[in-house]
Amino acid sequence: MERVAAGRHGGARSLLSGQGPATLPLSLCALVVIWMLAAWINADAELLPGPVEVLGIVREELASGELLHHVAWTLWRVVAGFSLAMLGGLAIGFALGRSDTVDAWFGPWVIVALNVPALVVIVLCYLWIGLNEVAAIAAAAFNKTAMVAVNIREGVRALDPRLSDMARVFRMSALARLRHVILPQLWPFLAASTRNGLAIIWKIVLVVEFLGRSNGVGFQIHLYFQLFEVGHVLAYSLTFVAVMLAIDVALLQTWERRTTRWRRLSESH
Amino acid sequence: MALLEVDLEGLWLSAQQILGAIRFSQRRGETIALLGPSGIGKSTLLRCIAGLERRYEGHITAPDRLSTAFQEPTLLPWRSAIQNLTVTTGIGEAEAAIWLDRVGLGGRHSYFPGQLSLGQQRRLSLARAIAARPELLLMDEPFVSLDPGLVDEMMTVFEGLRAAEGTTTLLVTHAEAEAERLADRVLRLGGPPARLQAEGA
Ligand SMILES: Nc1ncnc2c1ncn2[C@@H]1O[C@H](COP(=O)(O)OP(=O)(O)O)[C@@H](O)[C@H]1O
Ligand SMILES: [Mg+2]
Repeated sequence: MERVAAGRHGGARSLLSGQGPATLPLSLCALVVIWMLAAWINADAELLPGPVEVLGIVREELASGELLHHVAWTLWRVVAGFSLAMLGGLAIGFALGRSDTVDAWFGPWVIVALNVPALVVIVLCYLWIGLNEVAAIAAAAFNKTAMVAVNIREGVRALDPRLSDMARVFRMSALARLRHVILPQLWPFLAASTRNGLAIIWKIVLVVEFLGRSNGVGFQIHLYFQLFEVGHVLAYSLTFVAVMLAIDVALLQTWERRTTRWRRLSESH
Repeated sequence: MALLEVDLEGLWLSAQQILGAIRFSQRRGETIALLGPSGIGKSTLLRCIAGLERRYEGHITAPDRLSTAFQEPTLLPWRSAIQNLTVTTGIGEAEAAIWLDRVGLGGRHSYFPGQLSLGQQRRLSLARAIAARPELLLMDEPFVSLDPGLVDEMMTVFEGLRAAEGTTTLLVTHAEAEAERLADRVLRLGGPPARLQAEGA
């Protein structure tokens, strides 16, 4: 069992898993209060509008349909870039983790890819592919693929050889092995990749949109940056933060609860 | 025609000879106990027979359908007791439930392996190995480090299943008493490198 337990540190904590149920709302309320105070002391709604003003802007943009339109575009790019990065990273990570030769030759490439600044990748994608949707999603995906690959490589190396032997002796089909033997051991690593991945990729998507798209939250931030509308910049970015947190709570935490139920029950025994 | 035919010339791992010349065969329905001190190469020999270790010199003819029950239960910790049977052996839920009953895990269908005691995990592992309906069952010290009472209980469970299924079994152990009680024939390994000692000696 030691080997299985070794994967435990791979599971990143949720963004919002705090102490008790009351801590979270209180902590967030405190943040809003500090913001209110800062806006009140600053007394310049141009430079730092308070929460109430920003909420008003969110309402306006929601009513006009603008907000939903741009959030949907950004969300689509996040999902597309994220899916490509996960698939690519999974394939590369498997290849690297399975074979030392492959790792010796291609491992260094992954390190290089890991160290190319996101901005460079974005600019190169736009230059080489063109100012289009393909380039935007490729740039978002590429920035994340290496990180997923490194994570999955670690997970594949930690696979328990005794369970692989057992699966071979019982002649389990390739699909059954993947579902019941391999993937459950990779969940902690997949969960870590997913969580870090979503958190990073949406920030990259904003830059991608800022630099070369005509819709999306990043584009709107660019627009209101030029108009010096701090309230709109805050309204758009905070809305998207809220969307990403909602995804974290609704999808990731539910998923994690389901895939770690056996571990909680086994530990409490 | 023997079910299992072992004709090994030797096995070298990391420039060290682990197994020497080993020849024996096993008839269908027979239970053989392989007896030998710890570290002599018993588990390694079973791995060769199971097809998990192929670097040996010589020939082994073993049936395609074989299964193992090892000292470590090697269950899937993230699957329930009943799923551990269905997922690995391909039997249905109803049949798996009967198997759980037969090894005394009747009320434990939805328990995860981590919620079972070592003795229960071993019995689940034994049920899995026999439920796969193997032509040859390989058991590697399946009763070691259990209380004497539990060892007796588990041997009785095994004897019952073997009588019902007629499973041909190759049992590895370092306990003389287990070998005497369960086996039709006892083979002794000496060495190193591991070789068969004269039968009956
Ligand atoms: N992959 C391996 N490489 C090198 N030596 C090994 C390997 N596997 C087992 N051995 C050695 O083979 C010997 C026999 O091991 P094993 O078959 O587990 O003994 P037993 O089951 O009889 O206690 C041990 O000395 C062990 O260190
Ligand atoms: Mg052994």
